[in-house]
Amino acid sequence: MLCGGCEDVLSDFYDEPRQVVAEAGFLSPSDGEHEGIIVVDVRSYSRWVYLDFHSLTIDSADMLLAEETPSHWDIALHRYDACTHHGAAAELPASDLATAENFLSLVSFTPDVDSLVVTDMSQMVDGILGYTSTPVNPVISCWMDVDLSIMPPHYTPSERVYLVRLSDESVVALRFDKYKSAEGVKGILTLHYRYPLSTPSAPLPPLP
Amino acid sequence: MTIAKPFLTLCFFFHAAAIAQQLPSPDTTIHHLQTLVVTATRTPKPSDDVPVTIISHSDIQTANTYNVQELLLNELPGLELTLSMNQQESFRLHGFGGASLLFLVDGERLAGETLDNIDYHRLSVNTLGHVEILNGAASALYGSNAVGAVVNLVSDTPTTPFSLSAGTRCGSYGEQRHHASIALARNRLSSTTHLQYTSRHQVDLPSPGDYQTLFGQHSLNASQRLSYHPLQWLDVSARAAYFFRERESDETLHDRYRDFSAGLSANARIGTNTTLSATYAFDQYDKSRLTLGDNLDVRTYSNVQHTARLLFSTFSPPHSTFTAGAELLRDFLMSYQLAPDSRHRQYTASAFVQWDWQPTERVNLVGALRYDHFTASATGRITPRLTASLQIGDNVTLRATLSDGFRAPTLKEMFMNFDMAGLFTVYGNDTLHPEHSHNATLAAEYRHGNTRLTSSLFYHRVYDRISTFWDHTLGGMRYANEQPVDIAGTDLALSTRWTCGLGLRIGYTFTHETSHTSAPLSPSTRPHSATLRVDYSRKWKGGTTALAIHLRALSAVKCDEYVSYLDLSTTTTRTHPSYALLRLTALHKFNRFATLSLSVDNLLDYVPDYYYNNAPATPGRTFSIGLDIDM
Repeated sequence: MLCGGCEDVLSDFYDEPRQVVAEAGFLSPSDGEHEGIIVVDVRSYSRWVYLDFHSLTIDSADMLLAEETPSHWDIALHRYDACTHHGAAAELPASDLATAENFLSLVSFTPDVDSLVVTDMSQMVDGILGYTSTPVNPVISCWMDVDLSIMPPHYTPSERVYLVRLSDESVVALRFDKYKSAEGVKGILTLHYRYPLSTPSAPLPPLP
Repeated sequence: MTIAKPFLTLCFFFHAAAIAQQLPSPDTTIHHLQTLVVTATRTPKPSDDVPVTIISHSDIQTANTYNVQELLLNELPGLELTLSMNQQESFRLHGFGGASLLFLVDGERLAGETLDNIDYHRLSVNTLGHVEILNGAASALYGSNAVGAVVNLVSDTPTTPFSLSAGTRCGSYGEQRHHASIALARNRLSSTTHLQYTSRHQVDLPSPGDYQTLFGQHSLNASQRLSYHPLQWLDVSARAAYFFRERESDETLHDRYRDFSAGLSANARIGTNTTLSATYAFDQYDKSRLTLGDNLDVRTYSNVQHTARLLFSTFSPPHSTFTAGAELLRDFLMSYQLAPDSRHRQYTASAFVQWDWQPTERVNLVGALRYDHFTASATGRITPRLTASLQIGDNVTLRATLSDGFRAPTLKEMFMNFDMAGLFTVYGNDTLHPEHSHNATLAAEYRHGNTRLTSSLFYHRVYDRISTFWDHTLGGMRYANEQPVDIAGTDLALSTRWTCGLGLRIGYTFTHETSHTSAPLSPSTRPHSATLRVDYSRKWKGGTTALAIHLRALSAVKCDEYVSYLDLSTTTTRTHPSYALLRLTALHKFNRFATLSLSVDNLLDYVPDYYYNNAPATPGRTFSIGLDIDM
């Protein structure tokens, strides 16, 4: 009830809210054959979120506070940007993770490049955005097109599968499934993945 | 016509006009029968004697629109509907947004808002008797929000011992509207029960834009009214209404809107010339989000208003009416956007007086004064209004109005903290001043037979308009008062009807807005807008047929907009193109009971190249067919 009955005659229609944001982490690990599910909170502009597919852990570090990056990680996410840890990525013309291996020898992988990402929004009205130079993978970062010329912004996911070659030559297949939580909170990503993918007998070309 | 009449005569006239409205035959409009209106002075006056625009019952039937929003757009030049921020409907009239337009239903405010606009879906077109629009500031009568105009939707009232009405309407994109009403009037008791269901499917738009689909939605309106006339000098009435709307705004989330309103009123006639009325109104408007995955319906917003009002009016022969009133409004707001806790309350206490004096048969002066006190901002406001009219000859009336308007800061504007799409936060400001304005209007009216020509010039100077500005200290947007804004313009209206059954109505509005503000965005009011209606009706052996063509045209507008919401320092000038929409409606009334209606909206199949928020939200040409039974 809001307070007394005089201020609420409709309360019986409603449910109590549950936890606003789902717990982040590797909710359902993949064994390579079956899909796993990861939930990641990328709402902060100043923070990279690091995924370690070997240990199935998630960590994060604040760029503005110069926090130390974790020692082991494979892929990192910042808002709708992404980067690899000395790896490379390719976008598949498919949205089904089950067929990801079929494309392994057909696609070319693109490594990270140095780029600027927005890390400080506090002076945006003056046209001053705080940028930080950091490696970004231009292929995975295309998973989401955000049109900020209108309010609210338009979010258009690519709905494609991305193959990511990790630094140890293992391969993970990713599909960004949702960009907001069940409660509608934007920046709560749900990723479906398979790891490790079976790699072909012939070695993949060396990473650029 | 003598302007001041004894109250009983007015009531009788009002009743006769109401009966006339039930007959949408072309003959009724040939004879000039006035409607009694209450919005201009809070007391019933003939429509010819006050500067009020009326959308009559006959206009409503001829327009044959799906909802009230479309009806108002169809009838009022100068009115524009935008779909802003996730397709929330916002009206703009004469340069004023929804917060400065006061919508009333039978004289009562509506609780709840989204982007400063009430939920227009609560207004059921099937229950409408007529609509009264009082342009210009009228805070001296209605208090806060009556800055740009007051729009009063007056419900239909039963005039026969028994009436049953039911109708269905189906159209393109799954549009449906079904309604049923039953009205009983026996001895001293009358009752009206109304039920309406509407729905529309999601519409994929044929061009790119700020939005690419129109959300599907459905709504339910149910209402009950009871009136009791226990004594010759006393009327009492009670009402209750429930509203529900669900909007399919997302694949995982639906927006839900609910409202419950109720009211009691008593009107007593003391002697032959004095009336006293007491009114209590309750209105609760809620918003909630339904998460489809777990079927949880969680409330995010609730606005509850209690209003008590006393109104006293006495007619002093030969030509003077004095009105006095007092109001108490308790406003409660709960929202997840509010800080530091999620609920706030405000009391508004008001008192007003009005003197309506006719020193000669051709001159009428109306003066009003009101005081409002708001507890949340601990501020008070005195607002005056003076109207003078002079009748010249038998056909010409000149009117002049000087009035003030004001809008108190809302609880939302004072206390909210709203995360804007993860980009920045909009902060409330509890030091806001009330927005206030000075308004002057000059009008001339020529009336001859069935022809009426009116023209008016209006000017507003608005001080302390409440808007959002970037706050460097907070690092986000914050509500603040603007520098003055000047709004000037003109309204022209011509209506005529010939005995052959042909009718013509033309409306034109020019609005010019000059902002002296430091806000980066320029006004987006379209300067020119016009409406045109040509209708023809004829009685046949088998019934009455009415055809109407409606045109609505708006000029282009250039305004500054942000290039990106990631950079609020850079704007670009964008031209929003002009457009014109044509509607065709055809109604055939079979004998006494059944009416078949057909409508073609957007007859010329206009599709915007890009759906800006102020582009018409039309997917192109649409059709609808309806059948109504009235017994």
